[in-house]
Amino acid sequence: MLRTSSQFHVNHLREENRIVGALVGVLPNLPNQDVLYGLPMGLLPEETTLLLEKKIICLKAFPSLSRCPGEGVVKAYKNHCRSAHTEQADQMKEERKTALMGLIDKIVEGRRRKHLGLDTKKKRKKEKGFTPEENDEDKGKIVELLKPIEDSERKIVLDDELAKIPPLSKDNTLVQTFLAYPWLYSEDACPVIWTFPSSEEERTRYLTFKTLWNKEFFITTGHKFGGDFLVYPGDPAKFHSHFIVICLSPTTNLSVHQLIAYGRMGSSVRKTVVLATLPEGSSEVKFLSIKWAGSSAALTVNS
Amino acid sequence: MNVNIHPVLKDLLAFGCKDHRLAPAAFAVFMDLSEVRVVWDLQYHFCKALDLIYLTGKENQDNTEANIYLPLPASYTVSPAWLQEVQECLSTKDRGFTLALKDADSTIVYYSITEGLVTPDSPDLVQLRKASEERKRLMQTELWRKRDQLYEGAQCNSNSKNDYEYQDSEL
Repeated sequence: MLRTSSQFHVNHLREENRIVGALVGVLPNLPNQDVLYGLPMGLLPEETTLLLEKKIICLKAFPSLSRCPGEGVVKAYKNHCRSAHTEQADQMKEERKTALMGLIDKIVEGRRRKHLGLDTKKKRKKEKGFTPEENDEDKGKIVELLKPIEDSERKIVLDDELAKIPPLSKDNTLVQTFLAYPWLYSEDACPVIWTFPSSEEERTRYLTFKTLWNKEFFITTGHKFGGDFLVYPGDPAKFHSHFIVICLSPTTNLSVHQLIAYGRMGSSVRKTVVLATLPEGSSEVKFLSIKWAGSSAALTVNS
Repeated sequence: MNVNIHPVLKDLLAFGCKDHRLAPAAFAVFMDLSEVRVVWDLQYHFCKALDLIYLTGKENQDNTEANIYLPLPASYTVSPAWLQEVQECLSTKDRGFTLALKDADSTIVYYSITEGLVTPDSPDLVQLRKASEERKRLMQTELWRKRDQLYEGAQCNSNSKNDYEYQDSEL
């Protein structure tokens, strides 16, 4: 399976090229569920061949991805972890500093009170209330307390406080989940020999896909309904599919029961089952639509 | 002994189809189309090239284009290439044909086969069809309930009409 792992590319393929693919990864922020899928996106072999043919994509193989990481990568990863840790520690200090700067005057005042032996508890102060008959000693202290704060005093207090912050421990570091392999180098890329379609069966599938794609349809895999493709008149997120396409060799013998099963299944999900065949020696796909004609009123309305 | 055979079945057998399962299947489908589904202008044909019996008929009186019904027994097998061949041989390109598949217990199911991509019916059309089916069913039950009354009425009418005619001729 082919994978692409950029949201931009996924959107571009869908909107510009009508290639839907299938998301096969987990969402980084919702890993414990299987309702919504995330990157990477897998492409059908038919989608891949078509995109290659239209020169929209190119295929590259990176042997390093299937090998155990080498010394260089291990070193790079450890470096990455270390730098992430340092960065976060610096960031934390910086934030702490800003927070302290906002409070610095109060801290200085508190220290002065402590130093002068004045009451620091606001509560007790309130209880006592303001008493005018304070003695000279206390007055002096208050004068001392209300002296303007010098920058040098601020700096001393700030440094003191900063020194009290414990260093960021490794356990508390945030770990980055990679959305793409970060140590991929374009010079390591190897060319890929893409052989799809190689058999007659694959040729039928591919030409069916291409014919429908050229008719401006959106196409996804048809596993859900037991067919090869599901064909949508617009983006699958906005539309129901119209056709369940089943690719067959023109000489496949179908029992009448099989035919009824196809028709019945299609009508019960309001889709048309379409048999797609590639006549021998031809490159033009033929489609046959099977539709329930059981109700006579249906034919009256249709005609 | 031949006297007891339905004339249609007699004709179908007289086509001399090599596959002996086809004539009985065609007869069952003929009966279903003519008696149950009430198809107009029902006719049966033999396609020598494909060695097949097929039927043509119209869904209603003013429907100008006839549908093609291809009766097949449940034991039959078909291939996409064969269906394509039948389509080219029997029908005009875009209209396709209807397979009438008959099981051993005379259950018949109809599936239309059309070349190309046929978009499924829109929800509106499905509603319209359901409403029309409902109307039809209602009418039938009503007719069935009042059949005695209707029968008597009809008899009365024809009697009086006869009397009238009789009087007319006398005058």
